[in-house]
Amino acid sequence: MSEKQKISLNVNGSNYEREIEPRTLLSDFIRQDIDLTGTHVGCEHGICGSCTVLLDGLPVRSCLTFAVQAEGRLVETVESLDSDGELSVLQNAFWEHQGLQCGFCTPGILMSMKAFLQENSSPSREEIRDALSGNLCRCTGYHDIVDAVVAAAAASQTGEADRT
Amino acid sequence: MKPANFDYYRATSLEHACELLSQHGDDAKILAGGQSLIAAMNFRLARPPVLIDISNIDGPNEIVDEDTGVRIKATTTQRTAEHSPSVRNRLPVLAAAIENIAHFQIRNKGTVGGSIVNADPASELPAMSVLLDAELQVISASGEQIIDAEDFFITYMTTALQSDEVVASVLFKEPPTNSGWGFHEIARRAGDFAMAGSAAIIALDSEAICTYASIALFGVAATPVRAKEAEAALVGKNVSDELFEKAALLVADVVEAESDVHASEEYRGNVARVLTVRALKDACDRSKAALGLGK
Amino acid sequence: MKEPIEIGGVTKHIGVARKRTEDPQILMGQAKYVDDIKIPGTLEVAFLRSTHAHARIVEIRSEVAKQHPDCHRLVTAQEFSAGATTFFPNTRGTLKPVVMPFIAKDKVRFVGEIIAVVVAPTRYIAEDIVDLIEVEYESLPAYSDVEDAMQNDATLIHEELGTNIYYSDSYTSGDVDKAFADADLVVSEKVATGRTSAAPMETRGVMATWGWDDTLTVWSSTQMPYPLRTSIAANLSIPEQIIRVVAPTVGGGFGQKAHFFPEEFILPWLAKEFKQPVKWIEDRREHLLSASHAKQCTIYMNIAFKSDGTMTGMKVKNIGDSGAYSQYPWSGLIESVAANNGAPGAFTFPTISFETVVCLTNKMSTGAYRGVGWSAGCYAREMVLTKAARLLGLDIVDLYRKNFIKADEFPYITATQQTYDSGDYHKVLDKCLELSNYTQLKSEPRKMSNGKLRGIGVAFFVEQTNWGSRSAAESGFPATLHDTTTVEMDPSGKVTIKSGQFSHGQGLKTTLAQVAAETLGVPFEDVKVVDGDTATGAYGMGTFASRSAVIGGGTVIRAANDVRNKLLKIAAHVMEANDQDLTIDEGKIYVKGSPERSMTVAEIAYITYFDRFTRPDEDEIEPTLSATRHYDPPAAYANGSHAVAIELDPETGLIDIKRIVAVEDCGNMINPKIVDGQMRGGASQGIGMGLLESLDYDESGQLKNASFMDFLIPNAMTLPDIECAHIVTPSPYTEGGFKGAGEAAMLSIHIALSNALADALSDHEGTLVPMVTPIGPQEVINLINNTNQPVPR
Repeated sequence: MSEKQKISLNVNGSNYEREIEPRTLLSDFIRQDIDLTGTHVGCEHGICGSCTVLLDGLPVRSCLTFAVQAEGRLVETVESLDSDGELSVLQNAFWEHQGLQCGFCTPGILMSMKAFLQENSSPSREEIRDALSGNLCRCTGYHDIVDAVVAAAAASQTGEADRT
Repeated sequence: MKPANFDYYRATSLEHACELLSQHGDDAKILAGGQSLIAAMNFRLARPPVLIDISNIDGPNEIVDEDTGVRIKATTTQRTAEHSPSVRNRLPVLAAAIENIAHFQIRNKGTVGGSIVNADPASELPAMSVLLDAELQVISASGEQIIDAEDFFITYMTTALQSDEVVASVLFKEPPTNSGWGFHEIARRAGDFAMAGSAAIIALDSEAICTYASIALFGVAATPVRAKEAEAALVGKNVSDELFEKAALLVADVVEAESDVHASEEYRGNVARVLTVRALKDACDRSKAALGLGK
Repeated sequence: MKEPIEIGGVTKHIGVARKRTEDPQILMGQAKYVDDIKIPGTLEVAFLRSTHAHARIVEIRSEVAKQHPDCHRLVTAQEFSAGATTFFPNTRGTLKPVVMPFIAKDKVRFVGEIIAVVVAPTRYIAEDIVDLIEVEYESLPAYSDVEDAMQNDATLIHEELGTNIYYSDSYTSGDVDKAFADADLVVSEKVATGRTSAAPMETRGVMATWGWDDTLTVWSSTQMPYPLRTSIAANLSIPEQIIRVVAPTVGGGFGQKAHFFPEEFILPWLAKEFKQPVKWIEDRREHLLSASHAKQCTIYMNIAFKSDGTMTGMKVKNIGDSGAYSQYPWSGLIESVAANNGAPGAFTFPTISFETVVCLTNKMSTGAYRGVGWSAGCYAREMVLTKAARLLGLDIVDLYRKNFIKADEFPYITATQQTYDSGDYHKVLDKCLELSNYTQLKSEPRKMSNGKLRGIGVAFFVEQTNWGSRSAAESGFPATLHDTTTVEMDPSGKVTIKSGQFSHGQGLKTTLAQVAAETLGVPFEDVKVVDGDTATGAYGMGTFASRSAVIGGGTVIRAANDVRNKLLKIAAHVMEANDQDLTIDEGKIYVKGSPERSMTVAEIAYITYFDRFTRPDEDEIEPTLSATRHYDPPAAYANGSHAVAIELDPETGLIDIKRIVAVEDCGNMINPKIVDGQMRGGASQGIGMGLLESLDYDESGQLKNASFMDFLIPNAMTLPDIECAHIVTPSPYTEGGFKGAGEAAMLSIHIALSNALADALSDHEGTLVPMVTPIGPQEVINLINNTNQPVPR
């Protein structure tokens, strides 16, 4: 039995201090230790992207990260997107365009796309597909997700909201 | 699956990591980006009793211009290298290769050094290190040495690194002036491990005679390989499509592919040749463009 | 058969592409899947799974594991030896009963089979303890090729059966031999379809607790909560009335989760036995190893043609690879029997004979997955058509037009006794050809200036939908399916739908509310759908086999109509009008033509509940505003067409899909946007099946690619936009005129893709038509080199 590690990190604007086994994956830490179950685990191979969170603003696979590696860092999950129940521009675009069906892959996609749109504010459909290729979806066939991201980019361009 | 237990140490610097390595010997593994290691640990295929974490050392990302090339600190993320102006301007083939590594979520965390030390023969970075005659700066508690990329890869997932050594930085040599590059890999889906890949650097003179050639293949043997016979068949000759086809036939000498669920060894060998021709053509076109020669 | 109810009022809600009610919760990360539900004190389960494909279990050494300080329980078949038999008593052929133990007893029959169960505080620790268990196996010959397992001298996988072939049937209609003797052309091919997994993004998961009041609650990521409840009661000898099964938000199912798995009995047993909450969440490796597989058939297809393209007869033998067991509850017949019963497709075959054989192998069991049986069966038929077309100097479209059932021939009884209700196949095909520019693309040269080859392929399908008892019987599965929905109006006039149907992504909380709002005349926002929980629902089989639009919609129409009629009778009394003269629209009840004299639904509801002086006498009209109705519809057959345009790199065998067109006729649509979603999702899975997905076992029965690294499902770059179009020919038989739509693409798009490949290679020597799925680069190169043999799997 190995020694537990103390970690402290910021998740969605709140500071957390916990003692955990170093082998605890960040995905499990988020879901079990701090009860944010919006981030989902689809494979633990680093392939499906359901577990994508932002680590210091960059999307990463939380299943391929030990929680101890997030020491002192900022983690953002899907729960950080809405404002007290008011959907963000990106979330709204997904709702309008049915960019989801069963919803399991959706949180990971939202986090990847949030970061992507911050770097590329008016992407082509092809660029969106390329950026999306690291998140697997089994229900939608991706078409409506691309529509949603196009709409979110357009809505942000016209300045309808200043948060994505 | 969930990983097995391990003792965890956080290194504050690469030197500190070396001290820890020499304390724990064969039991210890270095954790950098973890994109390969943690995946293997999640399958319980890898169960290192000790992990030394270098992912949070001071200033993990560092890219320095040197005379002969660009030196990338081993803990630099693939993303940082991909976007670095030094890399994009002086080593465009490296930038192109990194763009092909998995997906951007992986590159945000995976490191240049980590991928090279992982030594998966289907990976892009080990292949780029042999293509560009890289020098690996290897340190340990007892000293430092330089290992050339061509001596670094022993076999599948195995390098010349001793258990108390860490790669500190990689110097990728800049190709000759006015050379051109080509990079082709094929995979069943965008972002997958390559079934096979070929990268080439060609330098021409003003008469379109080849003065330099480097060809590296990945996914076709137990390590990334330089196709030296094919390179020799090009140097000193006037370039043409026919020459490229002939030279590409010689890559068969370095192809020792295996059959797996995606492709047979015959397929890989054949495709290695096809991709080499394409990489050579692209490299040639780029070199001609750099020299202002017409096609 | 009763006449369908005409939905009263304006079609305000049906055919509306409204946003889905369920989405905001999902988008905010608040929707709860099984693993998101936290119960204090829950222990986690990990399984020791067999590493051998076929072996006797000599000994299980678990003492060291049991001594681990955190080992709460360690269970083997010694402690829990229940199992299940999948057996349909009145099938056409001979079916032997195959027994599936929930925990392997004396032998293991596939890699991944459960041998032991560990209960511990966390999954991490449970896996540590599993690592400490040692198993001594005595290896037996293992079969990964079904035709090897069929041999007379093959080692028996289930000794008590005396054979590995546990089902066979045959059927003939018309003089097939004469048709073949008189034919101008006979094309015979062996077609081998690859093995795949539905692989929803949420793996399986089960949680179970035993309550203080001696009740059992089971959460499962299942498509069938009520039947699971019934099955748990039967298999664990627990009274059904104390069992509650909850399917919370389910992250995709596609038919794979419409089975009963050993884990769904082991976890409840643990909860009952040890009185502690227990949870098991499947990891992806377990999933690929031990959640039901699908699509693998070996089909010998023979079709007889006249030189003008008329098809005069079909002879087909379908060998189903059942895996180690007969997947519970649909059985291992699900692929081959469904395929053969649907063999004629859209065509007027005058004669047909089919033979079905289902045989055991040492692999995971085969079960239902979107397009069950038909994906493989249609592929075999259609690839033979494509080859025949080329040999006859025709296009596949010519064969289609020549042999289609015509629009005025419905209802049409096929050569296999299926009754197709309605359709206009020519119209649908023409629409697809027009949208895809088929004729134009066909006329362009195959070779492109960049060295690639272009190809365009088209395919047409007929899909049997709404699996009720009659559809199931028409496909060869004589079972009684039971579906109901309760519609309740509360004193405030708001409506709750308690359905036996529920979503795993289809948006039923939205579509069923649309149907209820339409039928009742209330605003959409006043309708709430509750589902997935047997404590608060109504008995139903669940959602699978494209049934919830018709059966969910149909039960809602019937029950809502009852409530509407009651409401109007009460309103008529209160408003002193004739109930035939009243109408309800947007929550207002008024005399037709005189909207100024109106009362609200809410007012009438309140009066019904609490004003005995104003409402009619309760002995005349009982003051209840709820109804539970049942619906077991006749089969309804949807149809459609796909076109796929590709660019092929002939040197690498890689296919780049440039364009996809999908045309669907699923009768009246409740929510066209949701139908589009089904068309697009189905297209993606169909492309996966046709291009990428293959679960590969080696000769010793080891699964070589039990991870998402090597088992490849489509990503966003694999396919382009999917352009959807709709034709509507309502079903004359179903409530609402609806037909199902979920499986469509799985009967057709992989065919269109292979046709595109054949088209791209049409200038090559030989008639190069693929006869396998998937068509990965290796298979394409084999085809180009004209080896054209199924790649050994």
